[in-house]
Amino acid sequence: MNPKEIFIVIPCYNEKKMIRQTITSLIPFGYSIIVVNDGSTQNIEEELKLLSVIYCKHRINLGQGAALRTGTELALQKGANIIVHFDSDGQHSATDIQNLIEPIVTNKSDIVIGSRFLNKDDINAIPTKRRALLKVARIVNGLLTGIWLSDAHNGFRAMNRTAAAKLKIKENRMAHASEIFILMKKHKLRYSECPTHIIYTEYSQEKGQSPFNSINIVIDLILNKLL
Amino acid sequence: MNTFQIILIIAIVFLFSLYMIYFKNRLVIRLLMMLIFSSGIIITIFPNISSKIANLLGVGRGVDLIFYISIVFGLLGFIVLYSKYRKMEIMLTELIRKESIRTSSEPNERK
Repeated sequence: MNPKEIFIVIPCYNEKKMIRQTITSLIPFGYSIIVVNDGSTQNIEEELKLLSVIYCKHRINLGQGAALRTGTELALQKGANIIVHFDSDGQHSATDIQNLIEPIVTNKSDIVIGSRFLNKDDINAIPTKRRALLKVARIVNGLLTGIWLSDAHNGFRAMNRTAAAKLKIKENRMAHASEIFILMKKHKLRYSECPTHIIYTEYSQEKGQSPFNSINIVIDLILNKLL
Repeated sequence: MNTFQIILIIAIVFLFSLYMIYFKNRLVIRLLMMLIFSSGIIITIFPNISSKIANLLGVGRGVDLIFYISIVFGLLGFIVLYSKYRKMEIMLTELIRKESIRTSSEPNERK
């Protein structure tokens, strides 16, 4: 497959510090890159100078879920065959993409979710508190969505055109990760998991979600399911 | 009639006027508000009525009855407002998304 048909969607909110480095790590692979500036107050465009990326901007900050959907829709319009969601804070590794898209290229899956819990080294790399939180999130997510994957909140995922067109995310903020599971089940998409390596830096941990926000995500999901 | 009753009636009439102004083209809401606010004024002037209704319903005091009803209406109002907020949020998101995609730029279009 021509790497230009593989679109990497990067939602970006005030990631001036990391965005250039994240994109630079992807460029050698020849993928098409879409950066969705989600209403950042920082000058993100300045960081993208001379980089070969497709760029779009939300006028106001809507949230990661909304930015991912915008990027995904834009990628579909540009003729993407495979779409990969990739974080802008440098947590995801560009070298994992090849493994992540493999089940899609071989038509075994419509969507592949990255997991930090399939490889012993990756599990050990997760800070203890976060590991406990993710295990609880997995149970809550399984009960809410009916899909029991090993890593409930991994933002690193790949999908084919069919899946991308069906995953119309309505959760603007962080509850989109669970909503994607609900949509996967609703549309009977073939899914699988792939081990992915997450780079935990001090910077990314500072920006990570607090346990309290996780409670918020669950409330968001329940409210929006009811109303 | 004591001072508190007078203040309460003035507040009810003021709120009622606001509702009538804000819901100009909503006949059902206007009629519902007329019913609620006129009941409010009657109960303010004749507090015993609420106690009698409360006794009939087995609640006890009239104040308790009003408190329970207020909670139910308050929560109902919150749910209605939240669902309207969600609809607005979805519409706003869609608007921003369309504009964002329309104005997106290719690598060669940027300096």
